[in-house]
Amino acid sequence: MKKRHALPPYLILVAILIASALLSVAVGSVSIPLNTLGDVILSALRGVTSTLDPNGVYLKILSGLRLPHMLMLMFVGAALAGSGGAYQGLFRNPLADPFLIGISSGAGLGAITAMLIRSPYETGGVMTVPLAAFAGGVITVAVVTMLARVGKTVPTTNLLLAGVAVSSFASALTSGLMIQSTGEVRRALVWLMGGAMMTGWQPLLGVLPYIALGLTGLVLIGHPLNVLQFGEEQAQQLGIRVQRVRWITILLATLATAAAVAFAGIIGFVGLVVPHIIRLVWGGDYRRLIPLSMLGGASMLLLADVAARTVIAPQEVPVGIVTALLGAPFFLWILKRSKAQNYW
Amino acid sequence: MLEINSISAGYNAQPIIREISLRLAEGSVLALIGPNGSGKTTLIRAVSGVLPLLSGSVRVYGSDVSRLHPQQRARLISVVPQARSIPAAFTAEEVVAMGRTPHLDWLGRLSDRDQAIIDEALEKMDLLDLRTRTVDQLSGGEQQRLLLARSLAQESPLLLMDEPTTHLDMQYQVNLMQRVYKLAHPTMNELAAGMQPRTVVVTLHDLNLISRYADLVGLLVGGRLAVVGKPEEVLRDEILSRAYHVPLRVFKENGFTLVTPSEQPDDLYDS
Repeated sequence: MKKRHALPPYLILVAILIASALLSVAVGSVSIPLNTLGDVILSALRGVTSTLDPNGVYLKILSGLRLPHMLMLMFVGAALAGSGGAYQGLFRNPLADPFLIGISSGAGLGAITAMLIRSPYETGGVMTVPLAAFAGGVITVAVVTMLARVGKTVPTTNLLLAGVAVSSFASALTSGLMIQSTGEVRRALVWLMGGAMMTGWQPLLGVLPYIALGLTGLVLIGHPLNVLQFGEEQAQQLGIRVQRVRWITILLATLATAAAVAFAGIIGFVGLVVPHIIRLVWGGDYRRLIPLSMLGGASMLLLADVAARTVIAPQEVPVGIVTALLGAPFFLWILKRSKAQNYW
Repeated sequence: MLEINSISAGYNAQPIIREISLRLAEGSVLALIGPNGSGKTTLIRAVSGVLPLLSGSVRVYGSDVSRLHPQQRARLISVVPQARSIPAAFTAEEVVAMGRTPHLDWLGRLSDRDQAIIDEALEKMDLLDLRTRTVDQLSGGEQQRLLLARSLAQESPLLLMDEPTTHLDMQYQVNLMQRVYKLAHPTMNELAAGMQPRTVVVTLHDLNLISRYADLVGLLVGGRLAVVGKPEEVLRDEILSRAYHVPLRVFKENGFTLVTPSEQPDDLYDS
């Protein structure tokens, strides 16, 4: 916890994030050349019409569609990666990820239940869906922890097995509910694969309070999570209220995950891949790991989304498929590696 | 400074240690000995506050440990666990910094004073050169010193140590126990420089280390404190032989007390 040079990692990740964000708003069915994009943004900031965009078409695309979409991706990516890092600290397990341990599915079940009762596009829906997702997520964490816990530790195998079991159960219920519903099945299916990013400013404003609260809290909880790495007993002897820290972490991380799931569907592996890379490069201090993961997660989701929109354009692939294609091999690599050497 | 009043503690309301009472003055080292399963570790856990008491009370400087906020308790009592019980990825300095936890706010920010205390603890345990190494790059002996340094950074007057010499080679055992003894018995210079003598409770397996490094010995048998006293009062043939269920012989060498089995290998085969 020596004051290392904290600037470079943040600088590097912020630079990557800005580049990803620009790419995200530039690429699409109508591509905006980068120099035009720069001029449009700078002109809009100065309150004048850009000479490269005399009719304001680009500006309309940017402000009405791409900007809220980009911001939504950023928040969702930050929420998934930040909560992934926090779950890893909580379970003292490098393979904890909101998707792999079933929290996303639980939150998804909660969200879809609420959606069937009330459309998220109605005014009340924007508020109730994330809350239902949160309830589903918290219940899932509780069940998974209960199933996976052996005495005071949560072994990797148990955690993953419990996650798979609970996740399958929740997914089955979700599928059943979707078939019962009329008409909306296709949209819900796309949503499940992480492709139903709601567009426009209204959903963004709806999700913002939950994600902002979750992320701020997670950034502040780094020190107690560090102490928790010494195990429950030592943490207690160092003056930490272990149960309280556990619950606060679970609530904050699940709140962020649930809000992300409610608005973007189930997107796996971001919470696993990003904190893992950050840990390899800049170490395991959670006070740094969590905020850095958020920056990295936002970039990763933006880039995955760009890939999803361009690889087989004009067809769009749900972004969750892209993250799974990237994340699943990575997951297997970690699994193999963590058996080979005990660096955790 | 430490006052243990008739405590019982255990698991699932089943007491492992029963009605243990003990008083310890500031600046003394108490060695807890006893056969496996006699309740040494349970006693350490009960005194440290992580294991709730079934009855009785533990007081440090008069305040009841079970009524203290965990943070206040950690300022009075630190625990040195066995080596190999710390996460591998932390650096030595980070581990020692964790000792400052009870003195920090919940963001864990270190002041210049905190950093000075961490540096001093590292220096005292001869770990300055190893400060940037990660835990998995340290030997068992170095890890044990690191845990002692963490406890020093915690600045608690009472130090509890659970089997610190287990898994250590002879030279590390001696080295560690010398350091522990010096913490309880500072030199005149250290006292003049403001160092407070620590009070230490340590569970030990090796009976031969005791007379050298402990001021008092407590013998636990079946969860009860059978005897407490100076090493020469407790380390006696008849007391130890009865406690350990094996004939033991105690003899003196250069003023130190040594304990060995009194049976010859031949006798063992006969019986």
